[in-house]
Amino acid sequence: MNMKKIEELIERNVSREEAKKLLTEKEFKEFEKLLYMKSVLSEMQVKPPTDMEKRVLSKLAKKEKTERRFFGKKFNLVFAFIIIAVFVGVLITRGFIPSLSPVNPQTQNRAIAPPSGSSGNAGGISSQNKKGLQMSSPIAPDYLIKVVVSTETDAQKVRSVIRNYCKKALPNGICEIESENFEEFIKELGKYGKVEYKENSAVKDVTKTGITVKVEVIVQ
Amino acid sequence: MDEENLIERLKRNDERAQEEFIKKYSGFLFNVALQILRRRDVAEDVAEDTLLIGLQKIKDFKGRSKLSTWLYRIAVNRAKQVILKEAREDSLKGKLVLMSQQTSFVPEEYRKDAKKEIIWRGMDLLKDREREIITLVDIYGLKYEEVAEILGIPIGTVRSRISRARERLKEIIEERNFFDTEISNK
Repeated sequence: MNMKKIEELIERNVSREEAKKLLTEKEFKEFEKLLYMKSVLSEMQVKPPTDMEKRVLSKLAKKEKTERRFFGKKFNLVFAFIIIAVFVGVLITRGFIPSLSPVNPQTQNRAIAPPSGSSGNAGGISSQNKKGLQMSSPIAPDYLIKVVVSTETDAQKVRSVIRNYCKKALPNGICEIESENFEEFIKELGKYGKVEYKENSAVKDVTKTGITVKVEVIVQ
Repeated sequence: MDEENLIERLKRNDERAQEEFIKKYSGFLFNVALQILRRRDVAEDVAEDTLLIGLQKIKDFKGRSKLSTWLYRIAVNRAKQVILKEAREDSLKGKLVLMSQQTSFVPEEYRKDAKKEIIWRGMDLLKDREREIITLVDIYGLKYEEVAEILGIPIGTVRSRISRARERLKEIIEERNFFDTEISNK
């Protein structure tokens, strides 16, 4: 029996009458069987459930919503991270985190020092700022000294004494002298004029080794 | 041309195109899944999943094959995953039974028709490959060229495979007196 021939006729959709002419009786019987089986098979499509479309669309909508929510959350996290990073950055640059701050604390203290030209006592500075000076500022002197001389020559000599005793010149005309030389320094100044001095009790720098003085020379 | 148009619209998330897509392919995918899995509930799930994947991944579809080919492959892979998963679960429970070998289920539509029921049960005894080609050619009525593309085999192989599968099925159902009345009446 030529099965290939039978299959060929089925593939070509040849009619029963035509197939009968082309095939032997036995082959035709087989042809008919296959044709009948094929016709039953062609009706064997099972219909999908009617709500499949609805179900797929609702699943799709749900998935899209979940994805959007996920990406939304992700975006929020990134956004929150950026805000925190900016905030920490501002804190660091403003010096609120000293260990990370790029600003020199010395410079910072200088920023709150009294403006140049003002007296060493820094009368306009609040008590809080005075505390700051107490800790580390070399600007506010321990003693304010006034030397009244009669001639310009004496004034120059007084300035020369100051230069001799001054071991460290500080801003605003303040000098740091050795503690043990303080009395001798006053005596030397006294040689050229009348010396008045008072201790600046509010300002004390405990870290320094010498005594800081600001000398005002007045020619009368 | 119609298919290209549909794909373009799907890529733009056109809702009407999505509905059209589901209507066009739900039957095909459901029948493919049903013939592989032999169970209505899981076949429905596989068909739905395939449609969903199709809609979600349509942007990645390059158009190198027909949409039906692409979807068929997704459905077959999903169905195989289900079979493997159930087989694993069954083996854990100590009973290794593949879903495709379970013969108790007969679709509602076939129960009313003795001939169809015989064929359905006969198909249970076919190899997966044989059942696959009969589903595509005889149940779903695809042309040999389309089947060759879907299965990725030469058209000659489609011819020989369908011929063998039909012959096997004919033998099985013949034993169950499938042809007795019909053929003798002619």
